[in-house]
Amino acid sequence: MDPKKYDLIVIGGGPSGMAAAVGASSNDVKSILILERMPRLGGILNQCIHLGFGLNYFKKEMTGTEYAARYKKMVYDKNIEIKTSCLVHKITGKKEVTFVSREGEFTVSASNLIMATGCRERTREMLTVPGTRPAGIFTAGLAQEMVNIYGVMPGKEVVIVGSGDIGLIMARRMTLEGAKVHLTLEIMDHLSGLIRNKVQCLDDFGIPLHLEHELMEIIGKNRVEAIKYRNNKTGKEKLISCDTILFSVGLIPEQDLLTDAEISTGNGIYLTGNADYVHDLVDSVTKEAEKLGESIR
Amino acid sequence: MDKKKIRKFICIICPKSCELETDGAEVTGAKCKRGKQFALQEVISPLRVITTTIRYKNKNDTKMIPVKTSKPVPLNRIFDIMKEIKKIHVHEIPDIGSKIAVTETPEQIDIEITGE
Repeated sequence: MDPKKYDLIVIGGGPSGMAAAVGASSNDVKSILILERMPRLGGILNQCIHLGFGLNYFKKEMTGTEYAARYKKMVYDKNIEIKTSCLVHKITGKKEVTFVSREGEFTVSASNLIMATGCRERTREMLTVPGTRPAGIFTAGLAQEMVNIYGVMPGKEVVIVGSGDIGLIMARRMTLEGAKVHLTLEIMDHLSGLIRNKVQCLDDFGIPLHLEHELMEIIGKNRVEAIKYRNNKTGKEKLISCDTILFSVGLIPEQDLLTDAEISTGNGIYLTGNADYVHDLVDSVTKEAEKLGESIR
Repeated sequence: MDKKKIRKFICIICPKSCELETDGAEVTGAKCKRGKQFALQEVISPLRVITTTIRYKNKNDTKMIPVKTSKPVPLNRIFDIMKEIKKIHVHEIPDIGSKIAVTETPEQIDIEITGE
């Protein structure tokens, strides 16, 4: 039997996937399917409980969760098929999409395929930090999911490595939830996140930001016990006790499905949102993805 | 502007991050009205909206529900207010936008549900 065919399949139900589907639907694309691996639409917005979203697109400051809720309504208002808890593990140059769900493995196909798969966090392994491999090392976004979605604290004595926005946001979040955030290390001579996030997440709570400081070693047998870090201006090294390290050291567009299939974009296959390149604001993701959706014939 | 009293702030109202200077009466550097108000308020008492979560629990299920204070609260009271918010548990999933009173604080503070 031939796989069921859609006019458009969108892989990923986060902000860019939802916007691409809404854009296409308003341009009269008839059969649209969104495949989302989590149990609900919204993507990373669902764990962004903080403010700073929507000023541009909705002309109102809202939390990530409010932005997601409002945009989801726009998706539900359109004639868009949504499959959640469906993990796409293979695509082909013929735009066949294979996914697994609780019901089994299925293949569908489409005239157009939009990859709205977001991005991934860079990890400790990618920085090749010397030392042991104890428990207590997390990316900032994973810690955000643990605290905000599951209500689980990753640790109590925290050091943040890197000054990306999620790291800054998590410095404040962990502090509010009773952890002690000792410091934030940044290897460059400037902040990598937004300045407003430094003001309201670090300065408000007296958390120091050390620029031109490098993580040298992670120490600990079963659990993180301390880190060694170096002031790259003076060459001085210091040791600080902690039980948790959060890494906020950059994001990488998630394009592995294309890479695995040895295909690139073109011929009806598109990338959008953070899967294309990493954006600062979700508002610009929404606008770009809607525009892409509207261009689908 | 009275030079002795000048304080500098970075505006956090929007991502433009204007660099503001104020003596408590006049404000320079703000590209909008809200920025001016922000600087003046920072001199008197900084205000922030708290965003956090409360726990939903029923017999078989538990999850975190995102909330925010419906108005900005004084920065120096944030930890007290957090303690009160953490005492709140719900047994039914509240609608987005609905409000719950935060008890035992001297001032009237509500939290507003921001997600499902």
